[in-house]
Amino acid sequence: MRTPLPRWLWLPVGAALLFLVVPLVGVGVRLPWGRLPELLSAQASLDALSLSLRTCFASTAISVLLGCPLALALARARGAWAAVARVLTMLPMVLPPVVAGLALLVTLGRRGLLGASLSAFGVEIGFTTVAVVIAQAFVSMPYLVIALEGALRTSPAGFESAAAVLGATPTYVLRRVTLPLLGPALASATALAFARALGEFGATLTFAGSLQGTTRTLPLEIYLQRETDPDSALALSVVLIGLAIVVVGGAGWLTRLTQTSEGGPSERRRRGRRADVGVPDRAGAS
Amino acid sequence: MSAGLAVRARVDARDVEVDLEVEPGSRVAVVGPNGAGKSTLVQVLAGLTRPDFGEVRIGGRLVDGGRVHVPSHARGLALLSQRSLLFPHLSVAENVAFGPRARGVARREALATAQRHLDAVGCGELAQRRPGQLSGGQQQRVALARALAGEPEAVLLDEPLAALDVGVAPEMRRLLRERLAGQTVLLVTHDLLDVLALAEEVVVVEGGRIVERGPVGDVLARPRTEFLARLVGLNLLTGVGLDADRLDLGAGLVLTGIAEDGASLARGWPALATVEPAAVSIHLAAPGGSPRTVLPATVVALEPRGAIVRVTSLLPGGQSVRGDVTAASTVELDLRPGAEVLLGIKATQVRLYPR
Repeated sequence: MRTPLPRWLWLPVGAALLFLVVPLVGVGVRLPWGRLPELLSAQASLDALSLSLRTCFASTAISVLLGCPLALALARARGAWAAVARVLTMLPMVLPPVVAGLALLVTLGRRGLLGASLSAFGVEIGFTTVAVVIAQAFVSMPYLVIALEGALRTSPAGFESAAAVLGATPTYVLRRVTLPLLGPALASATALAFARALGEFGATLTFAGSLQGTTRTLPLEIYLQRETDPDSALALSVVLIGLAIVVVGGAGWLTRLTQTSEGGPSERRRRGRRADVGVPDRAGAS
Repeated sequence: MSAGLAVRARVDARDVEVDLEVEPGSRVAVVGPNGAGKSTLVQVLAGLTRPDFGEVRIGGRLVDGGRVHVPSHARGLALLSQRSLLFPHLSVAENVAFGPRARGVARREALATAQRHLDAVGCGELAQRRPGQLSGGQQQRVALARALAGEPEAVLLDEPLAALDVGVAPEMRRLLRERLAGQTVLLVTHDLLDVLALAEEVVVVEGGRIVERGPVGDVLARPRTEFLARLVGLNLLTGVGLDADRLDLGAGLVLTGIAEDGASLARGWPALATVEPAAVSIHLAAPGGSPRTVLPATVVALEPRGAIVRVTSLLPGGQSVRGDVTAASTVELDLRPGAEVLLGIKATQVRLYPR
């Protein structure tokens, strides 16, 4: 057992918890719960909710499809170029979202670096739903990459070598060993990226604008309603809080579930009991 | 079908340079101190470390050399290491079927093969379990089944018993002996029992180089390195032959012994002597009685082993000699590091052979 924490430490612990939770309670207290169905069934709210969900699923899919390979490569990379690549990968994560949006606009917008050529072919990205997806993927993919890379670096390398010597090609190793073992980490990294995409505001507003049903996602709708109909803004906020709880809680639950079936903590407890009845148990060493 | 192995390679990063050949169907043990480069040898053969220079061949096929580097998965070898490395997300049966499946065998056929190999190691009834539910010994048996299910051309064993409980190791050793019959085997170990039970030939690696090799019986009977002498539990003394049965240890010390048949010492040529620690007696005054060598020495360490104490002492020339005495006599003789003693060694207990 660990040594106990000093008792005075519970004071800042309590303060931190209050600091994080009280504002959410504030939303719950101010919200006219009786009017919730009415507030949420307004067309603008429904449009924003549906748009947010569609764009977040799309941008999260992009993050997973492109971010996984990037994380795999970064986890193995050594040397100066790898360090540079890692910093560049992290940049959109720490950039102010409005700057990210501006960067996307001057690159992919109608008169942008690439946007001008695309525009010539009749492809317009700026101020469309596609722009919303791009903005969300741009700011959320780094979260997925960093989380996955961390998990990959701490995962034991032996399994992959063992698979290779058994005759598995690199593709087979990736499919049957690396990715399945990465499962729980991938789930939580995906949840993180999804949550970040769901909350995207600045980059979306700058790059995609705020057109109802096309680019006005939940955060944008909330910001807009705050001026004219604060109750509606609160109602939509509760929806976002609920979604966030579902995503983060769901990822945690999924992680525990996979760990249970793959020799995680509960597995260890079971082995412990077996050891009690005299079965030689050295599995912990492997 | 078992194939021969040939390594003639250098790995600069670990300062390893070896030239080793394993005949098809023969079993070679590689022993040596920690960090001597034994595991590097295995890694090179398995394709997990690429040599900086040289050639590696498996069954005559060039797998490393020049621009050639055949990746691990195309080498047709099996590797069993200290950790079983069973995939935690697959059942025991799926683990054993992994090799055949990876090589394109249909699922049902691969699982049937897996069951046969599991039965052969006595783990047939564990097929549906997860590796995490097995004991360490069971895990290692399943890992052996998995290694052999792919019908490898040769089997590499890297300290396969090192992580097992002493109670489980003998059974696993018996199983290895049974299952590896007829296979080409390269076994890395630091356990004398493994060498005796599993190998026909032994190779000693020290400092990244092969320093000694030969049939197990010969090499163990006449160790030429301190490491090997310690492995078989003998004192090894080096010197120069004086006549047929006397060895000059330097610093004016002469050791009398019995030369091996047809291998008597030649005057002026380097030679070796081995003595069991039990044949070394320790005295404070020169002993009388049967003819024996008496050597002055300084005690440097005492290591209790039950009722026996192993006393390590240094001869004037710097060579060390280990002797076993009873705990009672260490008290009687007041032995402690720094004590000056006389070592008695009976001539009949000393084996002499040319270096």
